[in-house]
Amino acid sequence: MLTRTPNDEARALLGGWRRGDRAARDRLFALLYAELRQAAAAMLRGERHVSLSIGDLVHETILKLIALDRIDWRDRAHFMALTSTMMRRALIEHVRAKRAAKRDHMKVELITNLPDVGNADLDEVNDALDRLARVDPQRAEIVEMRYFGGMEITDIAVVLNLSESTVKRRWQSARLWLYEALQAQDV
Amino acid sequence: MSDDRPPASLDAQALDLIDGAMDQPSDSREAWIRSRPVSEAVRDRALTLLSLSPGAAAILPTGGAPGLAGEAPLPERIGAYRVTGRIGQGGMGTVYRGERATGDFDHTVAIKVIRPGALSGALVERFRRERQTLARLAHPNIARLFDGGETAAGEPFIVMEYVEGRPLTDWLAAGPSDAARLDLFLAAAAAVAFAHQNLVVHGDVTPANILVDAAGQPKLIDFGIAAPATAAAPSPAAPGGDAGIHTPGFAAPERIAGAPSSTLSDIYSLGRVLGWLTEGGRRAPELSAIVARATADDPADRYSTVEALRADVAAWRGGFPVSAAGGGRGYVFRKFVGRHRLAVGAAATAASLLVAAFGLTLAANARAEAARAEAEARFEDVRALAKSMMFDVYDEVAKVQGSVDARLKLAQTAQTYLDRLAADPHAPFDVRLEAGEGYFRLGRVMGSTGGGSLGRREEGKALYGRAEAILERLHAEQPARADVSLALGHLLSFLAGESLYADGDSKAARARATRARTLLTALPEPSDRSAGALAAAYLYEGDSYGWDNDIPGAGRVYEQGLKIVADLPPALRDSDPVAVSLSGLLRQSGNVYLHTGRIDDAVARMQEGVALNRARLAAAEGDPTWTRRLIASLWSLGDAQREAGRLDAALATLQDGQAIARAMAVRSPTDAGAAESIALTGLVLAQVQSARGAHAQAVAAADEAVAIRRQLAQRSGGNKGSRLHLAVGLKDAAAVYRRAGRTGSACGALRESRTILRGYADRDDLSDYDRQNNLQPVETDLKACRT
Repeated sequence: MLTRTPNDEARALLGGWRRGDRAARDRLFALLYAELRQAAAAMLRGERHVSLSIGDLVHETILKLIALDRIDWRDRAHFMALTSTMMRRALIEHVRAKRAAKRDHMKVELITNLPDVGNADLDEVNDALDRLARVDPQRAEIVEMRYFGGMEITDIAVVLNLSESTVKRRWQSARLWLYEALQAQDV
Repeated sequence: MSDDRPPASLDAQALDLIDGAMDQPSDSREAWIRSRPVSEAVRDRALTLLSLSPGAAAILPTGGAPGLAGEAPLPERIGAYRVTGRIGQGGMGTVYRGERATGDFDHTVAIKVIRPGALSGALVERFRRERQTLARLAHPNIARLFDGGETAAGEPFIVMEYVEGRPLTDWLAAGPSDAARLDLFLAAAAAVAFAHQNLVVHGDVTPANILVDAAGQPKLIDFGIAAPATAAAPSPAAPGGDAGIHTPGFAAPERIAGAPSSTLSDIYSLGRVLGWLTEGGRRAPELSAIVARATADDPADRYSTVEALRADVAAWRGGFPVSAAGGGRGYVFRKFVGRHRLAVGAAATAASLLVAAFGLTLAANARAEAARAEAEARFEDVRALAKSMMFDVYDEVAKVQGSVDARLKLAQTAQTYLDRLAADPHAPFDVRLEAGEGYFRLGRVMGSTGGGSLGRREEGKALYGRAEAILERLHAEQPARADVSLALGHLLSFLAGESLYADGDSKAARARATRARTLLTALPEPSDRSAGALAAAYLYEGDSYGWDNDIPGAGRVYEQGLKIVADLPPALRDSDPVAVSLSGLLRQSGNVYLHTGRIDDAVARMQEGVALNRARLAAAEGDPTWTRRLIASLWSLGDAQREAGRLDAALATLQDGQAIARAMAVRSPTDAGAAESIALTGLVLAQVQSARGAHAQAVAAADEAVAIRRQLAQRSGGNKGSRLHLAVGLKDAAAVYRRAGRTGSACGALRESRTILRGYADRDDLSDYDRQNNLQPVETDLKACRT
C-alpha cells in the first residue's frame, strides 16, 4: 500500500503543473515513473493479469498515485499528457529490452501502405522527436501527446493553453518535419 | 505558452510559415507561402516540407505508438471470443479484434476491454444493467452491441460490431463536399435520435466515436457507455452523480460541471460535431445559427430534440442548391398550401413536401436580410405562411385519422419558425402573442394527455412552459387586452388538466384552473373558445378534488360547471369546444353519483354523455377527437354498469368501446391515445369477464392492457403519469389473474405495481388518492403472496 505522502505530493504537483509550473510536472513524472517501474516489474513476474498492456499499467499507476476518483476535465487532459510522456519512455525501454533479448534489430511497422518510408523503428521516431524538440519543443510535445498518448487535439489544447486550431496546425507542420526526418534515416 | 520558445532557427521559421499556410485551402498553400515576405531560405525550406504533404498525412496515427511497439501479448480469448488482433488503444482501454471461439460461423467483432478505473463502479453496474437495452439498439448507423461480460480478471468488456472503416477525422481530411458533410451529419444525428427514442443517451458524441464505413456511412460507437436517458434519478451507488467520461470540447458545460448526460447534452455534442464538420471560412450564417442553438450554454435554450436539430439542418441542406433563385417563393408556397388543403388525405407525403418548401422559404428569407426593405416584406410573408401552416393546414391534417406522423412533421417545422420568432426581442406584440399561441399548439401535438398526440410528454411540457412564459409576460404588459387574457386563460385551463394527469399535481391543477376561471369569466364577450376553456377549467378543478379523494368537493364543482354550460346562449352551448367539456362534465358527475351509490343517476348521466358524443362524431364525420371522447364515455358507462351488477349490459358497452378503439389504433398506429383507449376499455372488460366467470377471456384482456401500458410508459420516456397508469393497470390485472386462479401472475403484477408506486411514495411524490386507492390495496393484496 502506498502511504498518504506520495499521494498528497502527486496531487500537489499536479496542481502546480496546472498552474503552469513546469518543474512540478517534471517532479511528478519522476515520482510516477518510479512507481511505474515497480508495477512493470510485478507484471513481468506474472503477478498481474496478462492482458494488461503497458498503457493500462501507466494509467493504473497514475490513477493509483493521484487517486483521482472523479477526474476534472482539465485534470484529465493533464493526466493524459503525463501518460503520453510515460508511454513514450516505457515503450522505448520495452522495445530496447526486447531487441537486446532477441539480439537483432527489430523493426516495427510505423506506417502501413507507405512504401517510400517503409518500416521505421520506434527508436528512430524517438530520436527524430528529440531532434524536433531542439527545433521547437512545443511541436515535439504535441507529437508526443498525440502519437504516444493518443490524445485528441482538444485535450492537447487544454494542456498547452493554445487554441485548437493552433494545435492542429502545429501538429500538421510537425508531421511534415518528422516525415522528412524519418525518410532521411531510412535512406 | 507560445511565447517561451527558443529563438527561431531556419526550420522553426519554416514550420511557422507552414502553420500559416494550413489556414489556406490545400491548393493555394504554395502560392500563399510564395507571397509571404520572408527570406528565400525560409521560403524554400517551407516549400520543401510542404511538398511532403501527400505522404505525411498518414504517418504517426493518433495513439499509434503503443500498438506498433508490439509490447503486450494478446489475450487468447475474451469471453466466448478468440482474439485475433489489436485494433487500438485509448483512454478507455484496449480494443481487440475477435471471432467467435466456437467457430460455427464467420463473425468478426470488436471487443473493447474497459481499463480498470476508466469507469466508476456505479457506471460499470449501470452498464451491466443497460446491456440488454443497448443490445436491442439496432440501427444502420449504430455499431451493434452483441455481448458483454467480464474477463477473468474482472475487467468489463463489450463485444461490438466490427466496423470496416476509418475515423471521421480521416474522412474529413480527404476533403468531402459540403453536401456530403451535411448528409453524414444527418445520418449520425438520426442514429442519436433513434437511441433517444429507445431511452439511450450516447453521452460522449465526438468525432472519435463516429466511424465512416466503406460505403461512406457513419457508424456511431460506444453508445450508452455514459448514463442512460432514464437515469435522471441518481443511483444510490453514485451519490454525487457520476461524471462518467466525456470529451472536452464536445462535452456540454453542464457535463463538465458534473451533471449526468442527457438528451440535451447529446444535442450539444452533436452541435459541436456539426460545427467541427463545417469548420472553415465558408460557413453560412444560418448554419452558424443552427450550431449556436444546439450548443447554447443553457440546456433550455438548445433544440429540445435531435429531430428538431436535424429538421433545421435538413431544411438548410435542401435550401442550399437554389441560392441563385430570386424572390417570389412565398407566393409559390402559398399556392402550394392552397392546393394542399384540397388533398390532405395524402398527409404524410404532402407534409414532407411542406417541410422542404418551408425550408426554401426560410432560406430565402434569411438571404433577404441583407436588403433591409425586402426583408420586412419577406418576414411578413414567412409569418403568414407559417401561420397558415400552424392553424389551417394543421387543423385540416388533424381531422384525418392516422395523421399523427404528418402532424409531427408539420409541428417540428413550425417550431423552427416559432423559435426564430420568439428569439427576436424586438418583435411586435402581436407576433409575440402568435409565438405564445404557437408553442401552446405545438405542445398539444407533441404530448398532451388527451390523446391524438405522439405521447412525447416531456417535450410537450417544455413547449407549454415556453408558451406560459411568453403569455404571462404579455398579460403583465397589457392586462386589459382580451386576446391575451383569452390565450392565457385557455392555456391555464388546459395546463390544469396536464398538471393533474401528466404530473399528478392536484394543487397546481386547482391553482391553474381557478386562475383560468378568473381570466375567462372577466372577458367582455364570451366566445366558443372562452366558454369551452371555462367549462374545461371546471372539469379539471373538479378532477383535482377527486384526485385528493374529496368526492363531494368534486361533485360540487362539476355541478357548477354543468350549470354554467346550461346558462350559455344556445349557439355557444352547441359549439364544439363547449361540447367537449360538457362530455367530460357529464362523465365525471356520473362517476360522483356512482361513488355515492346513486347507480341509476350515474348510468343516466353517462348515457347522456354517450349520446352527446355519438351525435358529435356523426356530425364531425369520424373526427378522431370525438372518436376518443365516445370511447371514454362508453368506458365510463361500462364501468358504471359493471358496478351496478349489470354485467351483460356492461359487456356490450365495453366491447363497443374497444372495437372503436381498435379501429382507431389500426388507422393510427403511433397514436398513444388510441393504444391507451384499448388498454382502458380492456381492463374493465377483463373485470366484467372475470365477474361473469369467463376467466380465459378476462386474462387475455388483462394481459393485453398491461402490455400496452408498459409500452406506453417506455415510449413516454418514463413520464410519471404513464408509469402510474401502468401501476394501476397491473393492480387491476392482478385481481383478474387471482380470480382466474393464476396466483403467480397476480403476485408478480402486484410486486411490479408496488415497486412503481413506492418509488413515488418514497420521494413523497404520490397523491393521497393513489396512496389510498392504489398503493394501500396493492400492499394489502401482496400479504397473500409469498415474498
